[in-house]
Amino acid sequence: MRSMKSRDLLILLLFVGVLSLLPALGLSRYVLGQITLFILWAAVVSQWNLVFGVAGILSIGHMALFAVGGYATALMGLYFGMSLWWTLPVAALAGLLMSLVMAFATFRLRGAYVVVVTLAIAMTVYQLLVTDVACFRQTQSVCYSFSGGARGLSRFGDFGFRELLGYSSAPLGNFYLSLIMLALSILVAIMVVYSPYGQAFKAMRDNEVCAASRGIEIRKYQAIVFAVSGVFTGLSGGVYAGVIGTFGPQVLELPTLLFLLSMMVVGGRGTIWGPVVGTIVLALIDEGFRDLAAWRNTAYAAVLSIILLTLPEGLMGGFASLRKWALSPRKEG
Amino acid sequence: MTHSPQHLLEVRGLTKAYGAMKATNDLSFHVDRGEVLGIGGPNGAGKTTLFDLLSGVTPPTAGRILFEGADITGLGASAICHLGISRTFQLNAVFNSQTVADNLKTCAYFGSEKRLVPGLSYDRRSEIRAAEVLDLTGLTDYADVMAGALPVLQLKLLMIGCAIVSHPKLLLLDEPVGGLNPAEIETCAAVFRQLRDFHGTTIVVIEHVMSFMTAFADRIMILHHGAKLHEGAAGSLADNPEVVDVFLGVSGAADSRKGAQAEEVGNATS
Amino acid sequence: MELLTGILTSTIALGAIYAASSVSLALLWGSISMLNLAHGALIVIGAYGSVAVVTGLGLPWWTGLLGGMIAGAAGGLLLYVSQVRWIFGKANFDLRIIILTMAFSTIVVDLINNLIGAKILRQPFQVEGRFVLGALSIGHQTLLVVCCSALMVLLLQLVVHKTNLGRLIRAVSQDITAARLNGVPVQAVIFQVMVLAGIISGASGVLLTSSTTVYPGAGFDPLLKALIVCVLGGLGSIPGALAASFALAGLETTVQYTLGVKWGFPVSLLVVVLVLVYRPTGLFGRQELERN
Ligand SMILES: Nc1ncnc2c1ncn2[C@@H]1O[C@H](COP(=O)(O)OP(=O)(O)OP(=O)(O)O)[C@@H](O)[C@H]1O
Ligand SMILES: [Mg+2]
Repeated sequence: MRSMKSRDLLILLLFVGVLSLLPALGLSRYVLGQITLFILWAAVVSQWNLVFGVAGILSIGHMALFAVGGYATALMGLYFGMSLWWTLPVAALAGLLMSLVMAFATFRLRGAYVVVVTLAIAMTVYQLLVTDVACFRQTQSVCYSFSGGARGLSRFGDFGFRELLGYSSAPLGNFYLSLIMLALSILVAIMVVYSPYGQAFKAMRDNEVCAASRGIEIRKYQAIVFAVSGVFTGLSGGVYAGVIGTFGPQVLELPTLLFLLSMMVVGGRGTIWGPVVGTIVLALIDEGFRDLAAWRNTAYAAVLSIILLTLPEGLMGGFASLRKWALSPRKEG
Repeated sequence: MTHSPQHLLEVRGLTKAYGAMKATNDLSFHVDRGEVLGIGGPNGAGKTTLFDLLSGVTPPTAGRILFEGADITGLGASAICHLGISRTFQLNAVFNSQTVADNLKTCAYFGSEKRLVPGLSYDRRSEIRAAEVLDLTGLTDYADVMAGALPVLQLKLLMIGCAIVSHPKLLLLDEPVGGLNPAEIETCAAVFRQLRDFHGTTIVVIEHVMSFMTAFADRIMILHHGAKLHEGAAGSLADNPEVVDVFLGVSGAADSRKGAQAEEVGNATS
Repeated sequence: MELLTGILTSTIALGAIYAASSVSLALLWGSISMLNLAHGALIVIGAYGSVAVVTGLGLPWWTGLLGGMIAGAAGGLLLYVSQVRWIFGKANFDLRIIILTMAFSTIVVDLINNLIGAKILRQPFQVEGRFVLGALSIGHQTLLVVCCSALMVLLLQLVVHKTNLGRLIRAVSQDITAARLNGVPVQAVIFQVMVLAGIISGASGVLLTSSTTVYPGAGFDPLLKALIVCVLGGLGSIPGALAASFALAGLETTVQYTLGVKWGFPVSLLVVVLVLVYRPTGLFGRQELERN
């Protein structure tokens, strides 16, 4: 176990090292922007995977944690004119609070009940946002609601990379900030998975009654896994808002949800690197369908379906069984 | 061992109702320190339900459970584990996606005391305990195998290992040798004898294999429809016509006599 | 008084629609432990089926319901052929089918968007007029929807309790291995259940959209409502789904009349969550303990 942990930490170091060299390739603004976006998605999925994959709590309303983080940052930037750096702790706190709501609502629920309740909570947040049309602030003739309603929020500030690095290099600042977020997210995942906490989460997933009888306080660890994931997902939401510059209820819509779920499932849920592998695959599909945008959703839904029908444990699970098969001694015929 | 006037475990009027059916019905008994109590009874007699109640997996409808004199009725499963009652399961329950060694470390770490704020790695003591149990159960060669991939004997041994690695005062074994062949039964029995003789663990064991039970248990209690049908010394079982009638059958009675004799021989030689 | 009758009639109308759309979810969960997140897709397929038959082919308005049923049946069939038959009984079926059906509905919505267009259409399954009795005034449309829903639920109950298929469904739902050993053709039963669920979802799609409009994403909201209804009633319990339909409809309309339309769904959800905290398997759900 210890050697596995050092192995994963080493891979993380190499992975982040390689990614940090990417801008040296002279990528276009568009490509760099896309990579930045997917790096942030990978950070979110790694944290979602702790709850869904490692602890086996089938929460599919995870984007609600991301959304409250993003809105926390955007709202504070907009109404208090704060530097977005200072809003990030609040984004993390917002994610934490939302995750505790989820944890409370699902404490005693299992399986499909968790799926339904978490989805419903996320969709309630969505509906409250899009139906928020009451006039809150007036600019000339246009009237905006508090949360921006269906249009979302924009022009709430940024991380100041433009002043620091100049207009043409500002995307680099966003890229590296996102990369740090991803590194942090995976580092947390590794530390958790290989610690007693991670073992407790897996034990709950494997057999809850047995885990309780071995001294693991189920609810406590349910709350802990939600809380950890909530903090870093909320933080990712804040970083996303500042990096992208707009934040709206679209992050809670079903296509986004399924897109991120695909990253986890295609890569392999419950593994450290599954979310990363899945993100790379989905990014390639997304890019491949750039000119066929109308069919993008169909494309990744189809890939997701094929993987689920053939490799239920995702690509990482596929690799593992392939390796086992290749290494296993075969009888001479 | 320090002497205490109390029984280690005392159960008073324990009842568990599932709808109209009483799976455990006004049951009272006790277990003394260092003894082995065997529990038998036909399928559906409520044996596993009794363990579910004792281990806090499900709360009783009525009655009280006293452990070391303290009332533990209604405590949760993890709290009861921390107090020193540990159980195995009839269906082999371990953590399938962890290796054998990790299973034992997890159970040692979380089972031996309440962890308010767990650390980021296992403490020395848990690792030592896990290593000891690997040795005791003979699973050393399997330490790095995923529990889900174990053969059935090793799976049972691992489950027993997980239950004892937290050093319980009372061990509840639910059909620990069901489905094993005689050689495999002997392997498990050796582990149990070690626990009883050298670790002083008090054991309550449910088993259908009567030869094993009469050889191993000091006292035997037979349940029927959730209530006590018989309680007495291991050898006396076949003499109770009611027990023969509802549970043992004639060949079972012969079996149980054989087991009791084997036990006497075993005691004489040791 | 006016408020009260308003709430009452709305509750009955809404409850009937909830009941019609949630029984098919309950049927699938109860018989093969499948949480069908493609339910919304089947609803939309049914709604478009009705539009195709009436607006497209020019048949009378009431054939819309049949069109919806046929389209829904085709959707259920497709779901079976493309997904369920390959993984039923395999490892992690319950989780995999949840995600698969989600992918299925994404594809359906995309197909409709790209092939038919995102234009908002009118559901032609409509009747004019109002029924007036003293202070009470109910649209014929509402009466039609309530009657059709009641009829559908009744027919489903008949199928489940009185037919040979129903007997087989119950056998499969109680113990699949035992059913298989006793010669029940499990795959054939599942196929029929899926088509049956498709028919009900499709028909409920027609009823639902007759008071709103038809567009590619029209199934999502009803899906969410049906899911909430089913967990409140206890997943898989048809009587539970019926009771929960009217309970939630009552709650929702009361909240909408008193606090405002916007709060209907959030408050219902809050209540459902609180109920589930005390009864984690819903009002009528099987209270099962995982045995080891
Ligand atoms: N969670 C439950 N819900 C409803 N009934 C239950 C539950 N658990 C057990 N029962 C019922 O309680 C009775 C006793 O079951 P139990 O498993 O305790 O018997 P047992 O003596 O362990 O049988 P066996 O020898 O087959 O293991 C049975 O009739 C069983 O169906
Ligand atoms: Mg039993």
